[in-house]
Amino acid sequence: MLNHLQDNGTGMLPGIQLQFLRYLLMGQSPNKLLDGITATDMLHIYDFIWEKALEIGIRVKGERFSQSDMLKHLKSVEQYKLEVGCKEPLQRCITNDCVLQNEDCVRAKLKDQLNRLYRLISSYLKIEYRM
Amino acid sequence: MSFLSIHKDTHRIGEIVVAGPSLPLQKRFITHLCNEVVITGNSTVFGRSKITDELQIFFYGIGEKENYMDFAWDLVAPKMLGYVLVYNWFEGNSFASVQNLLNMLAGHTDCHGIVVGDVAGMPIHIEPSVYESGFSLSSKLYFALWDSTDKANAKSVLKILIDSLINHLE
Repeated sequence: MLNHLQDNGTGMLPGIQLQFLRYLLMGQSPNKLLDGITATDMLHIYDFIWEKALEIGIRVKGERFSQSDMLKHLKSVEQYKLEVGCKEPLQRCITNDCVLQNEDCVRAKLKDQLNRLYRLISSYLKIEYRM
Repeated sequence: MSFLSIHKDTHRIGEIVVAGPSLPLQKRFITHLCNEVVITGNSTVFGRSKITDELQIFFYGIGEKENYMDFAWDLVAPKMLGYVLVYNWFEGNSFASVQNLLNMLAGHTDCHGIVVGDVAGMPIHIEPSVYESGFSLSSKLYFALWDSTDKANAKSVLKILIDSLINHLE
């Protein structure tokens, strides 16, 4: 099922979205769901989960919520590029332009960011994070 | 689909289809929302919620897997107000069934819908304020958690679906 994501206007089958949301609300790492997913599909998933993470952050923290606080828990693009030794322009990494040329790199970056987001939401929800 | 005594030509009726892997859950959801419920011999349940004398909502619980997978969604979907898929939040198999149904519906309908995970009787350590207003999966599709032991909770679910409809008023 996960290998057959289809564009239904949001980029994903709703059942796939629901599965990722379920894991998010249960404090479960998304790694198992990410196996075999293309980098392009992972981009859709990341956008969706980022939106849900913002919603949850706002609902939990109310006026104390800050998007920049959330971003601090993610790895910066600069840091990621430094770690992988990438010489491409920074903007290409920010906009994931290399998704077709270097799929593995984009996948690795998004997988790490998704895990950081899931872990952060677990702490917001005060539930144990399980790998 | 006129199982209850009503003359369609003199009333306005909204029809909502309720499906999912558990008929008892469908029944509970419908019972919480309707002042008149009819359970048939063929594993389906019908309910009527009267808003005014002129405006009513009909709920059709269409039964478990063998029923909802064979249901004529393509014929019914254009006429219905929306659909509700109920399942047990903690059961993996139950979730997988709903996931399959949801993906199937995505290819058959453009209806408003809501997926509802029942958390009754099991500990869930998330504050209700986090999930009580639901989560959007798309502009017409939502997800919510539901405590099936709390009657008021079913109304919250219905409110999310109705809000979705209102958001698309032309």
